[in-house]
Amino acid sequence: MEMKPTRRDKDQQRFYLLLMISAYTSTLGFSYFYYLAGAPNITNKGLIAFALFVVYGVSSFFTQQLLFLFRISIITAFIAFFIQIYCTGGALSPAMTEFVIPPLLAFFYRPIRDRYIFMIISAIALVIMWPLTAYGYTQNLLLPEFEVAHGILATMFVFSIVAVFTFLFRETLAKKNKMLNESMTDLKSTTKKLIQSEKMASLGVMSAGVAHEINNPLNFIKGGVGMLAKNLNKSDENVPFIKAIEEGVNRASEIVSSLGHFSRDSESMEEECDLHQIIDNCLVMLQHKLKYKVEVEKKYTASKHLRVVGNEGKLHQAILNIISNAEQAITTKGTITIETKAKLNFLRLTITDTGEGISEENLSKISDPFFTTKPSGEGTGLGLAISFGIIQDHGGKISVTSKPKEGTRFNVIFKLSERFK
Amino acid sequence: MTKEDRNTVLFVDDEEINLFLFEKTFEKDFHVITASSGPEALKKIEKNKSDIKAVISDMRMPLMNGLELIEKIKEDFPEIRNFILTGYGYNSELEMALENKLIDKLFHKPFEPEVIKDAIDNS
Repeated sequence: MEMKPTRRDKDQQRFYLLLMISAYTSTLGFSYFYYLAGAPNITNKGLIAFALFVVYGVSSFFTQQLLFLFRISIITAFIAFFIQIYCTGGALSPAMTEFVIPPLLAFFYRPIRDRYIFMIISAIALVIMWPLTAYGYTQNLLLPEFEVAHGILATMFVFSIVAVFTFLFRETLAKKNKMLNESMTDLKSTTKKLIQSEKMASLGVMSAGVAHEINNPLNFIKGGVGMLAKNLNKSDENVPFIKAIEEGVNRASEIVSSLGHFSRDSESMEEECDLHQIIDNCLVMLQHKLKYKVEVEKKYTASKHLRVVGNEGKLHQAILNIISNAEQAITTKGTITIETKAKLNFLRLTITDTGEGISEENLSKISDPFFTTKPSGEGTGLGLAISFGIIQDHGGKISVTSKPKEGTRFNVIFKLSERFK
Repeated sequence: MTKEDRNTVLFVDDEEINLFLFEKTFEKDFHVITASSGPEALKKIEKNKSDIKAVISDMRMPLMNGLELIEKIKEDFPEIRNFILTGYGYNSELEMALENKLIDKLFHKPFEPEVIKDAIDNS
C-alpha cells in the first residue's frame, strides 16, 4: 500500500539519518583509533560494526519500516557490545555509547513524546560506562601509553553524543513550542469566528421569529388603513396620508419578507429560484449600507425566465455575500454594476465594483475559509468561502478578476433550469 | 346581498384585531365566520358544515396550529377548501402541505384583499 509520508514520518526519517551518520563516524573513528593502537582484533570488530550499519543504512532505502530497522540494529549492537567487553577484557570503549544508546533510544523513539526517557537512558548509560572504563584502566587492561589518547577520544565521543541529542531535543522542543503557539493562536481566532458565526446563525433564527411578529402588526396597519381608505372620497385631503402609510407598510413588509428568504429552513436543492428576484431581495437587505455610498447599476437581461434550480435561501446568502463584499471594497463613493445575461442554457451574472480591488497575492486566497483582510472581529473570512461553496453546490462556476485601486469583478455562470428555458 | 348569495368563509386567528379586520375587509365579499382557536373553529364548522366553502387559518396559534387544524378538517370535510395566512415567509412544513395539496394556497401577512378574494372565488 502506497502511503504519503506524513510530517511525523519525515521527523522519524531524519532522526534515523542522524543516528546512522553518528554511528558511521563513531565506528570508523573507533576502528581507526585501535588501528593506531595496534589492536587489530578490536579494529576488526569496529569495522564489522561499521559494515553492519552501512547495511542498515542501505536497506533503509528499500523499506519504510524504520522501527524494524531500529530493532535489528539494537540486537546487533548488543551482540557487538558484549564481544567488545570480552575483547578488551572488561573495559568499555567510549565509542560503545554510539553502539548502544542511539539504537536503544530509537527503539523507544516515538517522535517528541518519549524524548525525556531517551535523555535519561542516555545519561544512565554514560554514568555506568565511565566507572567501568576506569576499572579497565586500573586493572591495566588497556595499554598505558594510550590512556591519554583514549581519554581525549572518549571525551570527544561523549560531546558528540550530547551534541546530537541536544540538537534533536532542542529542535523538537522548539518545533513543539512553535506548533503549540500556532495552535493557540488558531484556537483563539477560531473561537472568535465560531462565536461570530453562532451569532449569525441565531440571527437567522431570530429574524424568522421577528418577521412573524412584525407581520402581524403590519397586517393590523394595512387592514386598518385599507378600511379607512374605503370610507374616504378619492378627492379627500387625507388620501395622501393614507397613501404614505400604505407605502410605509409595503416597504416594511418587503424588508421583512426578504429577511425571511435568508432564514428559510429548507434544505431542498430542487426549488425554482428566480435570480432577479434574489438579487433584488439582497439589494433591499443591503439598502442601509448602499444608500448614500454606492450607486447600483442594474443591467438585467430582458429574458423573463432566469430561473436556476437549487436552494433559494442559500442562493440569497451567496449573492448577498458577494454584493456585501463589493460594498465593503468601496471606501468612499463608487458604483456596483450587476449584469445578467442569458445564453443558450447558461446564465452569466457579473457583479463589478469600483472599489479598492484585491492584490494578486490575496486573489487566490479569497475562497479560503477564514481568510480576511478585515480587522479581527469585523470579518469572519467565511462570507466568500460560503458563497463559493454554495455556487459550486449549484453547479455554478465562479471566477474573480481584480485590479488594485480599480475594482473587482465577480463572474458567476449558472445553468438555467430545464423546466423554465 | 344576502347571506345565501355569498361564499361562507371561516377565518381562524388568535389575534382579535386580525379577526375584526378580516371580517370588516371582506364583509361585502363573503359571509365571514371567525374563530380564535383551532378547537373553536372545529365547533363552528360542525355547526355550519353545509355552508362553509373555505377555511383560512393563521399558522401559529395556541392549542393547535393551522396545519393541525386543517388536517382535522380535511379528514371530516374533504370538500372544504383550506388556506393558510401566515406572517412567516417560508417554512418547509408549509411547503410540504402545499405539495401534498393539504392547503390550496398560502397567503402572507400583511395580506392583499384582492389576492384572497380571487383565490376563494376561483376555488
